[in-house]
Amino acid sequence: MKGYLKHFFIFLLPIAIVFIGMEFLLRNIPNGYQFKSDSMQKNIQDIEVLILGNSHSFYGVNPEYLEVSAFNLSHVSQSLDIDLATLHAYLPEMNLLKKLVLRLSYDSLFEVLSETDESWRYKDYLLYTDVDLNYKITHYSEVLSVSLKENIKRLYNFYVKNNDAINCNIYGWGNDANSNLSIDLLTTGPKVAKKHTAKTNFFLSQNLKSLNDIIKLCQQNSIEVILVTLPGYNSYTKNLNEYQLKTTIETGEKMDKVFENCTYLNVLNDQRFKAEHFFDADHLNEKGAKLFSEILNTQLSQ
Amino acid sequence: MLFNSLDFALFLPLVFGFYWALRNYPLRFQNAFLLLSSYVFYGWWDWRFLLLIAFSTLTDFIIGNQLSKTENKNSRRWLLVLSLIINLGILGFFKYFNFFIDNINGAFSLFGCDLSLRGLELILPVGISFYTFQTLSYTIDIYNRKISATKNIISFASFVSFFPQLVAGPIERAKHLLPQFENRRSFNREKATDGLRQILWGLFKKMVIADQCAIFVEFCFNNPTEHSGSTLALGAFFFAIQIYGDFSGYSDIAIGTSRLFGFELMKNFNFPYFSRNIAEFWRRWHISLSTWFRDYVYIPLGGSKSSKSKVVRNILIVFLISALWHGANWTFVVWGLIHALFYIPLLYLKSTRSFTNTVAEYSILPSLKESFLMIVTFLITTLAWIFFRAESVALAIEYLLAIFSKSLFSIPKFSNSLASVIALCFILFMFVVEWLARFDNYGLEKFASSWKRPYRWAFYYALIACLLYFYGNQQEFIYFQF
Repeated sequence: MKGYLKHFFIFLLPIAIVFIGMEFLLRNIPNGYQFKSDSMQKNIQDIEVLILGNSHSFYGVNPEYLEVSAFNLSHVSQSLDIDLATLHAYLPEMNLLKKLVLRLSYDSLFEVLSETDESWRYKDYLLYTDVDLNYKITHYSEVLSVSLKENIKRLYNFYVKNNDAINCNIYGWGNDANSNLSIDLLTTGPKVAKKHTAKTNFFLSQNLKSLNDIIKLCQQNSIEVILVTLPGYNSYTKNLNEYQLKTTIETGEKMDKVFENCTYLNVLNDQRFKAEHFFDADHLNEKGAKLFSEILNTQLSQ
Repeated sequence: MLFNSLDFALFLPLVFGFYWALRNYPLRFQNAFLLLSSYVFYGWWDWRFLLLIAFSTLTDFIIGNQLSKTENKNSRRWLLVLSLIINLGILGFFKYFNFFIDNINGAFSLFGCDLSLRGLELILPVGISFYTFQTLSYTIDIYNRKISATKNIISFASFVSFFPQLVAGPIERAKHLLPQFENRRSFNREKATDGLRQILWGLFKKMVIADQCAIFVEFCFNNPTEHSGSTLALGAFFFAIQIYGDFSGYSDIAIGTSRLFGFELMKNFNFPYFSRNIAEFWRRWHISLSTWFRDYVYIPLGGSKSSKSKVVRNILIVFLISALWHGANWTFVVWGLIHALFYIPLLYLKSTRSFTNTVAEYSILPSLKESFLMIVTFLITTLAWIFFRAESVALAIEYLLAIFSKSLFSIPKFSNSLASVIALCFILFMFVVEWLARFDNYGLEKFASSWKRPYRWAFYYALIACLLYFYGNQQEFIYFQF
């Protein structure tokens, strides 16, 4: 038995060495989560407006165009439960925070990150931010969270091609969805709409609770909440499920009525947004982000 | 807990260490620990599943003991019926209730009557079909006086819930596995090393082969009308490989894991795609289920010792039950019927046992005739798999019609063509290894084992690198849903 175990451990040793080496190298690649967390910490005392949400707000709200000190803490696929956890993590230090901009997208009430294909993103919160999430043990490791194939690509991109993984500016706005790279709007619309349409409303009550908790937490801290449904290209909006969309919009309107500290801004089908403003069917590019941020700025100053 | 997860990678060494640390204590400690570990393994999905398995275990333990105590024929028969009702009742309720309701609604709607009976929101307990059949075989064997009932509830519960084979087999017989729980196991280095090798090969087939194929299978089956005939044909081929890699991979991991603990499970796959007709395929595919049906359905119905028409009837019944065992959907029924359709002519041709040996027994490569027969058999099974995979019979037919179009002779097109070529290379590698191992128990049993250690280890490292390379795309084992 001892001999067997000895051989087994010797066999595993090179794997363990490679594992530790890769983990070290991967953690040293500058990334958007770390960058945002650091940028946020630098100015946390001065932030008056915080933006939370998923890729829609990550690419759609550029704080540079807002007249007050703002920071975009949205991340791709961030769901409402993580918005809440994020708020809990940073709120105690945000003494000047007056307004919270929270996206209410078509899929916001029907998805939670832990149950999507993107659940590996948990590791970014656990490893690089102060957000306290409780998920799988694998998410405490870069190597175990992402496939070797992806990790090799990441190592190659940074250590060979010298490309880091920072995809946002110092205000937290996602700047890698620019108009030069735009994707075909007509074909992506139906596909993304299908992807965003939930098969069940299993997570609805959980997400409604998270949304309520966020608004109540803000109420307790005298913070105004602006729920926003960002623009979508008509190839996307036309293919949305009626029930899911209605539930989303009615929830936004209900929150607006029920909570004094909450307003709802729905620009999903706003005609000011043309094809040139979109990166793909459901994400704005830098031009779209500028336009939306200016609209938001007007709302914020009211 | 999935075999291809980190949870299991942590669970297994822990259980292994504690298990063998108990080797000098009374046997019941080791068995009790295995039982506890198995319940943790199973409860990892949903702790409520444990109530069901514990109930099934207790039921069959009590009925088994009652059966061994009584000589009265009537009482014995009633006890067996009780076991069948309870076990099949639970299985039927969880697995077929909604199917039944849907079909009643469908049937009445044909006559313009809208019953609108509502199904129940049931979660199918993982592996229920597997352990139900395992416990049933125990009671039936006691009834048939092939085995005697065990008095040891811990051994019996460990036998029912033994974690390596609990959720997707092999479906073990009490006669084979239960005595292994009742006798002391000793650590055997060769057996344990062999077990690890088999686990590695199983993981390779699952994570590298099956999970890669799954991407292309989904691509094809999700929108069959959008693809060319050649792409869909390749999609069907990928599914044939996916289901083999997935299920035989699971069986390899299960058997290998059991060997680490000193247990021997029955062989579940014997390189089925090297079969030369459908009868041979069924002697090589999911052997534990095929033999279960042979022993507990086919033979009691009269087997092959009846008139031709009755044998045909028996075959049809077995394929029908086997199909429904896989799931409550008409697609499985059609899948079973296709197999029956190709099996029954063999009965008339007296060819069901034409190929009881291994293909290319005395040569490295198969003869032209053998190659032709293997290809035809593979094509038949692939055709049937389309029904197995499709969500409805209509979609399967749509898929088939789309294959047999002009575009069948075009170049297949996937969203990531390079990945599909890489997947095909891995499939070729798997077939080469398995072809060389066709007389062995599993692909890697002897492959590379005679190489010098540095080369052998380098080969294993390469396989592990492949596993890690594709880790992250992991999918559940297909057979868990059954």
